[in-house]
Amino acid sequence: MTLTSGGAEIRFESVGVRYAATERPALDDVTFAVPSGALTVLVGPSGGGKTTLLRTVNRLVAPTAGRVLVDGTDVASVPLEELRRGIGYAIQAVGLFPHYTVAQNVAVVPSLLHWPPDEITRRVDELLRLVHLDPARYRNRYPRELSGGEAQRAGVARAIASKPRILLMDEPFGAVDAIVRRSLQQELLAICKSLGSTILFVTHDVDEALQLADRVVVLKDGRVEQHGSVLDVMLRPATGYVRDLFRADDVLRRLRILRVGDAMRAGEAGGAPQIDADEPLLHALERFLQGERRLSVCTQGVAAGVLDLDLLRAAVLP
Amino acid sequence: MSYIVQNGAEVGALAFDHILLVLTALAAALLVAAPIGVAAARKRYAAPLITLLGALYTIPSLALLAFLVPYTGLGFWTAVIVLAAYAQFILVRNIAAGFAGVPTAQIETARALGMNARQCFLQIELPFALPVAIGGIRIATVSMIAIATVAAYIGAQDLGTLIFNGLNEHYTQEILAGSIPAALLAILADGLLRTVERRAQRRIA
Ligand SMILES: Nc1ncnc2c1ncn2[C@@H]1O[C@H](COP(=O)(O)OP(=O)(O)OP(=O)(O)O)[C@@H](O)[C@H]1O
Ligand SMILES: [Mg+2]
Repeated sequence: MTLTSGGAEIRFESVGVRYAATERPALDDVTFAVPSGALTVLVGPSGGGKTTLLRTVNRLVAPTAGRVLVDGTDVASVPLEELRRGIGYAIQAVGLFPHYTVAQNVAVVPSLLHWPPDEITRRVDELLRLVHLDPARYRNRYPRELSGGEAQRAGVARAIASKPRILLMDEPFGAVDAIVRRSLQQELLAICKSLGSTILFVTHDVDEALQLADRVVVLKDGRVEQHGSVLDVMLRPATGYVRDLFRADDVLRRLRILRVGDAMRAGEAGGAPQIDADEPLLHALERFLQGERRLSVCTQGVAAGVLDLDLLRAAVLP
Repeated sequence: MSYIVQNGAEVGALAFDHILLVLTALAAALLVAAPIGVAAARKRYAAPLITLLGALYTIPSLALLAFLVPYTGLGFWTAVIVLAAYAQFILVRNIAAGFAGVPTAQIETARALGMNARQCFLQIELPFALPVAIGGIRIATVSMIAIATVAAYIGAQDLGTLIFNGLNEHYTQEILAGSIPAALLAILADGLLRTVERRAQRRIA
């Protein structure tokens, strides 16, 4: 089952946006690249420019300076509808069209792309199952007949329906209450990640997003405060703001957020018990406290490295 | 009531003419009002335009009829023009309000998903604008049913014909035979269109 055609690389080159000539710019000389297939999380204070940056990719906002490249092509040179049909977009609140059923909502982009009807039907069912909405129960419901969480699931299904190479998500779970959001966000992001699309994700829930992020971009006052891996922003915050945002001084937080893969060293640990590279370091510490001395780190079942208490300590107390 | 009972066929035929006149006028009015209303929802000149149509609305119907007769003659089509002209204000105002009230987030989402302007208009904006627009059609229809009785004065055949005949002959029964069915028609149209309006409203709730 191929769900996407792989992710596209997004490159921001000196992007500036001024909504009004008099105001300070919403974005100012933003330059960074989002690697193909990676999940990049955008964080920062309200008004920092996150939404604006996201919208320059699908041209809901046109940069007043610089340019945005997708796989090396300036988005400004791609026909507008063609560009947008290839980019999934999920936002908070509204999103779903109230006069369309769940199935019709999910089918919007495939229909615009003139997929054959039976292929659309098959695809809709496949997507609903993917986001854990039983097609038989939910296909013909209207958005008003869904809970907040179910609506967000349907919204994500619609965003990924046409196998987009890029997925833009602007606080898509912001409307759901905090407890549900945590698990929903984690679950749906994991699904989206598994599709291979390049994901730009805006959130206020720093902790949860960090657990899945490949890259983190901190935007403040329209400028990039820091761009790096989770390890970078946690252990080497570029500014005081970044340190405060991630409360990077807190060792327990580091244990919860940094992953086994961040601390391991390459090599073989023949016979040692296994642990997955994506698990938080806290799980590894638990194992060490239970008496393990060394763990064999694996990614998708394949041995990738070794972790012991010294390596763990070096990662959280640099 | 005896007049209605004795002349049932005649009253029925005139009621049918009445409905035909109003429906024709409504269709003509919509043909003009729809594009103006849609344009007015987006453009700056909406407010002065609606004021102008509002002024047209305040001209007494009889005066407007008398004014048109030298140009368009007596009868059905003059009545259609006058009724359609009256409906403009209400229709344009409500159609414009309907389209102006479409949530911008819905439009933006539709565009972001890759709908072009036409697809967005037909699939998203229209369903959202419909309830308010239908509200305008309802009010316009009810007023047209009433004004259509006056149009009998310039020779249009409808329930107003009975009223004017009755007035000339001081025959109350005949006046009632024209006005009661006209009132019933108005109530019926109002109820019917209210139902349609509610349906359209529920769709987008
Ligand atoms: N359409 C607009 N017209 C004028 N100014 C705007 C517009 N949209 C955003 N801005 C301004 O641009 C700046 C950045 O806004 P943006 O929405 O990108 O911030 P954000 O990081 O997404 O904030 P939040 O976390 O609150 O969603 C803000 O100062 C905002 O007031
Ligand atoms: Mg925002």
